[in-house]
Amino acid sequence: LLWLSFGLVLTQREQIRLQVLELVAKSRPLSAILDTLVRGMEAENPAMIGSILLLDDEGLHLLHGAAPSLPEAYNRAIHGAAIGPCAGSCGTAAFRGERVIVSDISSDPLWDDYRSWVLPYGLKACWSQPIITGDGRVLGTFAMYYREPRLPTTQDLDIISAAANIAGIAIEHERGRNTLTAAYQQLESKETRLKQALGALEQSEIKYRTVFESSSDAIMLFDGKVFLDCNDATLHIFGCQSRDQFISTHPARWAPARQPSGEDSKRLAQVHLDVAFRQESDGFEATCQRLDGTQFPAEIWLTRMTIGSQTIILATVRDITDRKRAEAMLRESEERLRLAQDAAHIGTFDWDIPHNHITWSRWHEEMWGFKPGEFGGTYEAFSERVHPEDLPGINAEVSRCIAAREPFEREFRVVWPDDNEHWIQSRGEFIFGNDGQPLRMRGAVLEITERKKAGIALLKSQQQLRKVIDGLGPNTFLGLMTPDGTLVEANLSALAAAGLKPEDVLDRPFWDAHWWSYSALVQKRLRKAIRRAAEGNGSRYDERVRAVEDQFIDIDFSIEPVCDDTGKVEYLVPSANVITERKQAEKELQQLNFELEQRVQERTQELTNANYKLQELDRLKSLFIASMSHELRTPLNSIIGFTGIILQGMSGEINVEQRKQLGIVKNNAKHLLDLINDIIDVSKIESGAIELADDAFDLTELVQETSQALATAAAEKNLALSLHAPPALEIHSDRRRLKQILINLLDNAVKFTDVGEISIELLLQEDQFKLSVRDSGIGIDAQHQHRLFKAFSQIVSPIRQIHPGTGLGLYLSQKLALLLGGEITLTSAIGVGSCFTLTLPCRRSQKL
Amino acid sequence: MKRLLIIEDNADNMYLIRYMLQSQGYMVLEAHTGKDGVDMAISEWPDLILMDIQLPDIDGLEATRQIRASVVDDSIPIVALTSYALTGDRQRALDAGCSGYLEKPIDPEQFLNQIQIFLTASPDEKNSEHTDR
Repeated sequence: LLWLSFGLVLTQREQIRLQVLELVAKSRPLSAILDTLVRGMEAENPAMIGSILLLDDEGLHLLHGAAPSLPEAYNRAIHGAAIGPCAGSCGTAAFRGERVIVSDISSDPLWDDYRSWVLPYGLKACWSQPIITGDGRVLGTFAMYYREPRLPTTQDLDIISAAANIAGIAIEHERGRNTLTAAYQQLESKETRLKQALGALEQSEIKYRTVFESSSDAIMLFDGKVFLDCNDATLHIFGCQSRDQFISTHPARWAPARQPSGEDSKRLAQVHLDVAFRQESDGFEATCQRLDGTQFPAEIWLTRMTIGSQTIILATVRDITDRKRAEAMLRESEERLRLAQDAAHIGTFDWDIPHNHITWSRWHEEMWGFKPGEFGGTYEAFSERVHPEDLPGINAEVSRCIAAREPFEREFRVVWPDDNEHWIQSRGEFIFGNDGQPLRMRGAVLEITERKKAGIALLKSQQQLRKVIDGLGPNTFLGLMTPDGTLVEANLSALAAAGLKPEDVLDRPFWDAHWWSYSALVQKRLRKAIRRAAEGNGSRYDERVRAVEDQFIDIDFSIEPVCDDTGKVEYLVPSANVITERKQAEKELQQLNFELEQRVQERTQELTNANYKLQELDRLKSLFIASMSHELRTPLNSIIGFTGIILQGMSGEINVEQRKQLGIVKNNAKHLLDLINDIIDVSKIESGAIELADDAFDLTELVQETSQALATAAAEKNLALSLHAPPALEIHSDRRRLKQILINLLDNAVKFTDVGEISIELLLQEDQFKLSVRDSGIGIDAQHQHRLFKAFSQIVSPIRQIHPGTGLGLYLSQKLALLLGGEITLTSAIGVGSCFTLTLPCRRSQKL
Repeated sequence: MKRLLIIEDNADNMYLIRYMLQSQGYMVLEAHTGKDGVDMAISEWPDLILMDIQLPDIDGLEATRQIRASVVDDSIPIVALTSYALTGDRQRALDAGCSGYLEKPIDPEQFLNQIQIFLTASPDEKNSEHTDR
């Protein structure tokens, strides 16, 4: 109807419409119809390229409909594209259910995801009209593409709406036809199945017959008086050769006159047949008899059937000889088991819980002090004989096991009529009904009185041990733990000392106990010790643990593994002794040590101070000596000065005697000066105040100069003085001190030599030089040689009287030689002479 | 005639030195304190100064420094009379500006020769050692 308002005006479009409708009426394929429609529209609008897309059954994707002028590759590309709020012109139109006009694909955001698909084909504009049914369902889209950007005119919009309408009619028609076809097909298939079912019914009749004939059970039909029919198995079971022998006989014919129980077979059969007629079916066991008179046990099922108006019984008889034999064997083996249980003193029970009926084996009764059959067979009868202290525990355990669906196991006492207690171990399992209620409990009991007695004896010995353990006293801890560190035993005295109850620590990880739990580190150490012990290695260490009222005590802790016969660690034995006192003693000792150390330090400080004072005193002494010498020398200045002036005749002529006497004055004054100078040197050296120069000079020259100074003295004693030295020996040293040493050595040589010669020898040996002063004097015996270099030591008094000296010369020389890095050595023999050798490192002058 | 300034507080020593120097024909100028010595050195410009180190007011070292800092010709030898006893006297004397030193007690047999050497020595040789024990 919608169509008419457009169709009247537009002739060409009307023709297209009629053409399409004709095709629809002819039930041509939808693709052909839509193709015709698009081609027709394109013929009417030459610049336009038409496209019809169909929405799939889910309403989510667009499928190819018809687009004869679009490139095949493009059609394939967009086939199956999802619709959406931004899915090109058609995808968006189908999603929105309204027309979408895209005048320029290259810039419209709706085409962002699809632009690259369409632009290669030169398509620039696309308007899309959704194809919508009367009730608003979207069937697809009709789209018009153009090769240049373009906006639709009113006329264009009319065309696109009209085309979408026509397409809608075609698509809806197609869909309707499809639905009809499907319904018809369904009908057809139903009819086929019906036919098949009827065929099957015929087949089942045959099958029934087959079952009837092929069954190993005897099946027969009985009308209340005689058997009407039977299968082959019936003949076989009852030992008949032909059906005639069985048909028309009465069931009583096929049983002995009396059943083994003594019951009349005929009556038995009648009873069950009556039941079957009345109740539809009945089953029972009976002894049957074959044609030849032999008997067999059978299980018989009777079923009431109505065929037409007649009520008959279908009877099934099964030979259960084998089953009966198996049952007999089972009974036999059960009896054997019972006998075995009796022999093992195992009693059995079977408790029918809903009916509160308990069956006990004979031995079970005996075990409880009942005569055979005396047990009342109820839970109350059972309870009566249980020790009153043990009964509540049993009741609770039974309830618990039922609730938890666990097997029951319990040891308890039974009090016999003679008041003797017997220990019983009972194990049982529950059988539950479908509703979860317990139906039965079956199990076995064992008398364990002997074992218990042994156990009690053991317990007693354990208790004795326990007493021993607890007698350990509060300062000793002894425990037992499993390898995982759970404390299972400990002496109560130690627990009490720590203010703990057994339940505070037993059956718990040891490290969680009050003693250790105050410090993670302490716990860590303990856990490691336990771990090591569990691996077989004991530990022992001192630890500080928490005792009662958060006091801390020091313990000597050890943990040792206890192994079973195979070497596996079975238990760990932790033990500890309180060593607070020892620790205290150690602490006191430490304190004492500390104090002692402090006193040593103080003493050291005092000594240091004293030493410092001594040093200071020493310095003052040196200063004093220096000052004193200066003061002593000032008068000498005048004595030596004026004696010299007079001796030189500067103040007038003096006679020989005066000259001699003044000479003595001068010599003694000079000796006094030497003495003072030596004392100054010694004090300087000893106080470390001496300063050494570092001169560069020719040692040979110095030696020559010095020997010349002594030449006069030597000549006076007629001593030959010889010098052997290299032409020049440039060295670095303290020239003045070196000269002082040399003068001293030469002085001594002259002084202690009366006859012979004095030879000076200077030798350069690698990095040192040796300066020897050899004389042919009195010599020094070996025992005195070591004293020679000591202060104020002159050898033996007679010589001293002959050879006055300060007694400091060699001492000073040696000191100076040492200061200069060398030393003076002596070789000497009495009456032969002495040789003093100065050895010095030779620092050669760099100047030359 | 060479003019020698003796700065010495001890009268006996002064007499001994003066006697010896005058006997050789030197003209002797005397100062008994450091200050006087400095003043006389500046006013008299002697040919040589004998400077005792231990003096009552300013010591010989200070006196030498003041003389060397004054207008007095630096080439005038100042000979320190040092004490062997006191460590480091010699070097301190040279550092203060002395040309050399003689050790007390003076050796009457060597003294005049030593003075003669100082008087004739070129300035380059002033600092060399001229005496020993």
